[in-house]
Amino acid sequence: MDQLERTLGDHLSRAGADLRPPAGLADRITTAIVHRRRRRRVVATAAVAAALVLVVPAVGWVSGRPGPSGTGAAAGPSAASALPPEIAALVTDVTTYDLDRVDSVGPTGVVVGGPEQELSVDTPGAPTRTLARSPHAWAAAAGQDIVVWADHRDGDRHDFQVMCAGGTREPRQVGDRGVLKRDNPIQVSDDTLLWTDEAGQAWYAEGCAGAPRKIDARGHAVAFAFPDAFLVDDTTGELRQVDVRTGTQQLVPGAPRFDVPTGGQVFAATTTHLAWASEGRLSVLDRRAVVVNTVPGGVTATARLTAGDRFVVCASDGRPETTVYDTATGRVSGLRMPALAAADRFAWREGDTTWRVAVLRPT
Amino acid sequence: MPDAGMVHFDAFVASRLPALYRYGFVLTGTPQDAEDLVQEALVRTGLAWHRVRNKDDPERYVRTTMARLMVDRWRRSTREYPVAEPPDAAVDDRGLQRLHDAAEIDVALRGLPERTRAVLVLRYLDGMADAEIADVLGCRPGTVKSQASRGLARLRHLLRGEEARHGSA
Repeated sequence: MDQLERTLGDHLSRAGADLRPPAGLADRITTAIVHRRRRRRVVATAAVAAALVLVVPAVGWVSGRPGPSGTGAAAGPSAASALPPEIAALVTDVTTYDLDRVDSVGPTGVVVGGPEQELSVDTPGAPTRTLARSPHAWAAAAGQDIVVWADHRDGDRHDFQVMCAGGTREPRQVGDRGVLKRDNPIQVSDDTLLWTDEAGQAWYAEGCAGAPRKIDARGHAVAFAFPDAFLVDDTTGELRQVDVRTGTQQLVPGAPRFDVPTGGQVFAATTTHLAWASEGRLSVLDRRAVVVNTVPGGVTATARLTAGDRFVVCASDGRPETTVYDTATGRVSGLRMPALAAADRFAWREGDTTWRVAVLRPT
Repeated sequence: MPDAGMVHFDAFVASRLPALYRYGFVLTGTPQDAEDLVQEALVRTGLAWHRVRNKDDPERYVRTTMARLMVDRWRRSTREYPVAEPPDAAVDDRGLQRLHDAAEIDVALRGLPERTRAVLVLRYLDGMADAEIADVLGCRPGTVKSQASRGLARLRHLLRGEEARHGSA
């Protein structure tokens, strides 16, 4: 230990020695705990009430699923009052969850998130299921019947591994090469996984039990809309789409070259659109018409980008600012709250821990 | 009747809040951020107290939560740090000089990225090994080592700059 390290240690041990907690801080902590507990009870009570109401044929539920129970509470479209009118008008029903965070919403309305240091999945009509009690579980994504995430499980050998849980089965590790620690590290579409290992090789696997298969193309995976995997070439910055079933590949028509090594660029794909956010702009490519629309402003380089049938949603990391691009009308809406999109679902947060997941009217 | 578990939690807060608040100050560098950080960490701890209280060391749990919150939540945000006005002129007073040095180290620490500062605090205040720090922050020990190395190099650079400025004054 050299002089600076000793000085630093001494300084840190003395720093703030004369500081005292502000008056009332302990009371504020107690009050905040009571407040958050009460809010959770309200949601749970609403869930029971909703389950009772839904014994009657489910008027207002257009998905054909039974009404939710467990932690999710059903509500009508009026629960979308916090949304801009152009989005609220598309909402047909809403399920409410009380969660510290939501990492992903699946195409069936499955919500993956949880309290601190846990990863859990909430499914309408089923109790909450805890997938991992780990401070390192992250990058979760939900498919039709599976949930995938990255977790730090084998010490020094790798940073993170690909984990997968299908149905009610126990989580299992997929492959043994770890997963590259980048934005959008694991993709899932139609219950097929796509990821890039630590050596920069892209892989895919069909379901949790599927054998990992190499994708015979250069670049790391950034988005997935089955069967098309989207890879950015780490040397040229070209964006390539690869059909994982046939291996056929081509440069994405209309896409620019991206800076390499990529950083601060996030991507999302559906069968009809491909979106990327970088340098403060959100760009949405209509894959059929090969037209790119660019939305300026309101997009940070560390955004979380998701895409559904109707909306492309760019939520700025660390700030309650979200840009919503309507692929049907080209209209852009701004939200003062985090939000996500998947298939015909749209999720947003109200307050600290109230998450609402809506089914949108068909486009 | 009050929940016995929460009575235990209240007692824990009453006894450990001053130390945890100071720890928040060391991590964040400002009393305002320290207050936010310790409040959020203790609220989360309180909500999970039935699990946490059975652990050997609840305070370590809170400190770990604070370090993770600091790295995850405070990162990338633009922050303004109130800095005390430096003295107008050098004074030959060893007590004042120590305060002055401390202020320079504070300023230099605030110039570091949150993750780097957390690594230095966990290493030089908490005395954690790199493997433990890696576990807390969710990265590899090698990453911790490189962060610490870069942080110390940056501190040296910043402090030399301060030294040169004072030397030329």
